[in-house]
Amino acid sequence: MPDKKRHSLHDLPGQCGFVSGGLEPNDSVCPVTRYRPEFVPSRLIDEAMSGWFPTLIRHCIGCELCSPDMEHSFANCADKLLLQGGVREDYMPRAFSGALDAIVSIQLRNEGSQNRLGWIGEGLKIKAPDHEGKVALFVGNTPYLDSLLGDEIGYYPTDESNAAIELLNSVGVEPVVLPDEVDCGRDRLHAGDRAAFIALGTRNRDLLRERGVKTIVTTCDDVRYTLGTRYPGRIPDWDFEVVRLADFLVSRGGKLAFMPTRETVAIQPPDIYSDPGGNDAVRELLKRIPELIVKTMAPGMPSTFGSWNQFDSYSKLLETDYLRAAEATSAPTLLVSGTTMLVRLLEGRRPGSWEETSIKIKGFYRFLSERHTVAEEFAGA
Amino acid sequence: MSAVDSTTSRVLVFYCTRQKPSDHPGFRELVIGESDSVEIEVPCSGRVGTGEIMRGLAEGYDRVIVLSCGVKSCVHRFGCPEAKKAMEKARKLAQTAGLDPKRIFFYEADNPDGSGE
Amino acid sequence: MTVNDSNTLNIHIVGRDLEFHPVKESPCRRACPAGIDVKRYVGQIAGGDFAGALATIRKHMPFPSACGRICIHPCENECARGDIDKPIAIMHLKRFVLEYELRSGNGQPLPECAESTGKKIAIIGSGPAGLTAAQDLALSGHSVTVFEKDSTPGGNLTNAIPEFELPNNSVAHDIDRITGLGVKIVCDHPVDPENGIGTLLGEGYDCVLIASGASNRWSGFSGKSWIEGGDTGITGTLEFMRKFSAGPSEDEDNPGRVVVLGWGVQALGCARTAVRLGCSVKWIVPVLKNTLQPDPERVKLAEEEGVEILELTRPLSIIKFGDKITGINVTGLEADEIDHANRMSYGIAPGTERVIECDTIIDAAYFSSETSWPGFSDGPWNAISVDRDTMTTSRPGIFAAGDIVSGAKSVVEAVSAGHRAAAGINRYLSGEIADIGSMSRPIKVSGWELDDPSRTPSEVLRPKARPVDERAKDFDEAVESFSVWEATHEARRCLLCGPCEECSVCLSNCYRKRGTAIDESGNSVLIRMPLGVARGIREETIVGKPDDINLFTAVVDPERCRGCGVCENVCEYHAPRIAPDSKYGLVSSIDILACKGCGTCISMCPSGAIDQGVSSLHQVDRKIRGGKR
Repeated sequence: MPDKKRHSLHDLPGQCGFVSGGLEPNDSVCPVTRYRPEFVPSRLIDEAMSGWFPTLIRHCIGCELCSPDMEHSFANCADKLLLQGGVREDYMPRAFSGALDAIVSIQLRNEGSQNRLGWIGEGLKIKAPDHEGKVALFVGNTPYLDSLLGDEIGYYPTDESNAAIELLNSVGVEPVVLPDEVDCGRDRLHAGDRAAFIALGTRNRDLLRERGVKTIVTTCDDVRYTLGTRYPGRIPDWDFEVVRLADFLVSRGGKLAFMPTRETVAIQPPDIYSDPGGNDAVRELLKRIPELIVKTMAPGMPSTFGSWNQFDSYSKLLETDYLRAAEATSAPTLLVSGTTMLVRLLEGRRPGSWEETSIKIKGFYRFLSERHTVAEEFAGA
Repeated sequence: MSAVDSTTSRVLVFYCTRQKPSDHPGFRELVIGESDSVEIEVPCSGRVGTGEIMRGLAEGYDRVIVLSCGVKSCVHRFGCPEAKKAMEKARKLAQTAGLDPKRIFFYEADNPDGSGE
Repeated sequence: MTVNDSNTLNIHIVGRDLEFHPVKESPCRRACPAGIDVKRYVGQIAGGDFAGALATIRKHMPFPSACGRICIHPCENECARGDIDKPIAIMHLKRFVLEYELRSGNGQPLPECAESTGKKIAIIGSGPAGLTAAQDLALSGHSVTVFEKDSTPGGNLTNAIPEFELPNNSVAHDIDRITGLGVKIVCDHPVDPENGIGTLLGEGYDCVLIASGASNRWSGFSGKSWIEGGDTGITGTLEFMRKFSAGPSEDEDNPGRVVVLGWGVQALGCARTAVRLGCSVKWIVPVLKNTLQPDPERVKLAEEEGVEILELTRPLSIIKFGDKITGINVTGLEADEIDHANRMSYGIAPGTERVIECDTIIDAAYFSSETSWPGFSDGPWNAISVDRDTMTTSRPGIFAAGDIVSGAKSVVEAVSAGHRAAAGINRYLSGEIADIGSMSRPIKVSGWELDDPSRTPSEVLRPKARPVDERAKDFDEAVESFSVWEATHEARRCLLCGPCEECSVCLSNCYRKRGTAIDESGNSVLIRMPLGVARGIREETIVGKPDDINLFTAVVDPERCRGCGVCENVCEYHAPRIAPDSKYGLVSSIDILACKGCGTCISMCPSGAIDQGVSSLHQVDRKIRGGKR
């Protein structure tokens, strides 16, 4: 049994070999182990218990496939260890030569108001800046990713945020969209930058409180992961409900209706947040689209590819396998319900790159918004 | 945002190895002025990307300047044009982040009058 | 891994995680036996840096006077410009920069010699091989004495080449620079072959280098005289040139009607000398005119001056009246068969025998050493066998180099031999075990990326020859040197072959001029990075001193690379290439010889997978942060 007196880690996950076991690395539950066989969660826990900081822990992508119990999952332990380990001496953010990290630093310096709402489409309704609202749409870094990547990959991530507002409007919600929202802090958490992570979370908390927000809705699974499971207990007085937009729409969108569409799409298997019976909000919404055929990818696919610090060749291998698993369903289109995942997959298929897979990739919420209709005959179908 | 105070401001200069600041008499007076400057030599202005410029702003430099050969005279042909594109992207990011995009300055050695555009 | 000299690096060995590539030199440099950095000096001339060009030449060639006039110039044969119009006039450009120095009166300072080692070296023979070795050894700090049997130093350079092709005062200028390093040349001092070497060793010399040359006429082809009836009365080249190389002899002896045998540069020199003495000259060669060893331009000058070349003609026997030669019996040759090396061989053409009347026959076909060195000479013409890499003979401490080893060769080949001998002697004196693998071996490379020829001048320039009715009558230099405009114009025709621009930008950016690498034995070796060329060395795989690594070229970390192709799409040098990798999927790799180190791919890489040593990601990051971290 783990020695609880030596560490502040609580209820470590079991070490049954379930996660990284299997005859071949590809058999392992942990997607990281598939490409880095040396990444064995149980061994990492052993090292932590022995008082060593297991540096390999940085490879954990936080997909939570290893445990049904999020609070006691390996990923949660990994994040705890990362924050305890602190920032490495040779650490340097490399994604986009550190541009994203620089934006976070600028946000932390708080030199003035951001101009980050220019992407909001005409006709879409959000709460005016001086108005309160119970529901906030947390868009993360999508306005910056538009400038950083948009022209190069031919896709602007705020498109998914626009689709989100459309869908929220269609269920009668005018969300709060914070003009000074700061980064969720996932990358800084992963880097071990505790101070920055706390500062970012605290800022977001204060901005949301000022607007009377109670529920945070997001299209990004990484945001949901960070705000929903990593903020509680670390950001003081964090008491917001953090919900994936799909779940919010299912809970609030009884009359949400869609036009028939004769298409076949692939989606990832239910993730850790889903009903163990295999239904989840994404499927629930897709079921409402008449004539749509939905194919589910094989199990074992994560719902995140990790932070931007994990934007490397191993992540690319995982992303490629993800797309291959989608292609194996023989659906021509893959719907991706997490915005950061969507951006990563599209970045990997940027024009001019080698295309190892040919399945079309589309944002799940834009797919819904394009087919959304107010026609009554489809309501409640 | 705070106005650039030339008596206490800090400037980050990336200069192409073929365009040392000392080779351009007007450069120091007009562009750097009385500011403290940190000057980083790079093999070509193409080495300066969006990330480098943004990190300069994140580090608190009042201005980030790229001193380049020029689109026509760049020995590597594609280096200077890519640096200009990186600068444009950095300006958009800076604007979104609430910073004055004019804090990013591009000085072309063979087009000094058009510099900064 | 091997090191040639301080400025060249030929790497053959692939270490554990290191990937070294052989140096891909420009074809001109690769072809030069002496290793002269041809492309560099041509580029320096194009840029107006004449002093720099001469310094570059002198690094490997102590006799620019000779090499700039009579070299066999294999560099020009390999010059890629020759595929478009004519090769660059590399040899003439060399002469130009030397003459520029002489005219300007601003001689370059001599290099500094290393601290004295206390070792004494004796060199027999003051020809190009011996004096090149003397220079190198003096620079290494040894005390060098050269023993020359003739009254003037220089060997064939001063004895066997006519004044109008290579003025002696120009050679003297080069020799003065060598003696200026402290080398002593003792003339009129033949070394007795029987016990001379033993005597020198007894006098305290630590090593002896035999560089006595092979300029004697040798009749012993295939073990017997190659001309029927013996060779009495035939004049050797050296004998002829000693008398007539600077003009008519004092005793007014005149060779009369002259027949010259042989097909090399010495035969050509004899023929042109005889013309200037007023003789009628027939030059009998067993090959086609256009395959003669000297370059076609010089052969053309000879014909203009009045030398009659009888191609595909072979001597059979001498005709004498008493002791006096009256003629030579010759036969024509016809094409026989093509051998395995694609060379045409010729056989006697029946019915073509005839007599050519003459008074003097000069045999410049085969050469031997005048002296046989007992215990060392074991070849058919008194040649000495040596280890080709170290130039050491069968006896430790005794070396041999130059024509005495290889037979009559060109000046540049003799200089190359001199360099190798000096390196071998240095190794011997330092106690290092000579290692075959430690000498550089040029690697054959094919395929070049050429610069756009339309950006270079198209007019081909060559130095002008003096009018034939003037030059055929005197012994002043027959060909003028380039003017400044002509030299820079001709140099600008260079296509800058090979991947390196040799612009030295990397050197001026280099924070360290050294690098460490490991060879296949696991030894850490300190090397100098070559001018303008970088290596794709990964810091984390270097044993010992990662900070010493000088990286100019981009390097991809395959663990970070996502194979997105941004680098491949942006680089117009086509240095990055995406390819499948069994471990990492699609990854980029950089052709380090195409990479110019501009760093653009580094700033554009979305995952930060590319880096370089100069302006590395960490360096730039530290500087931005002001050294705080």
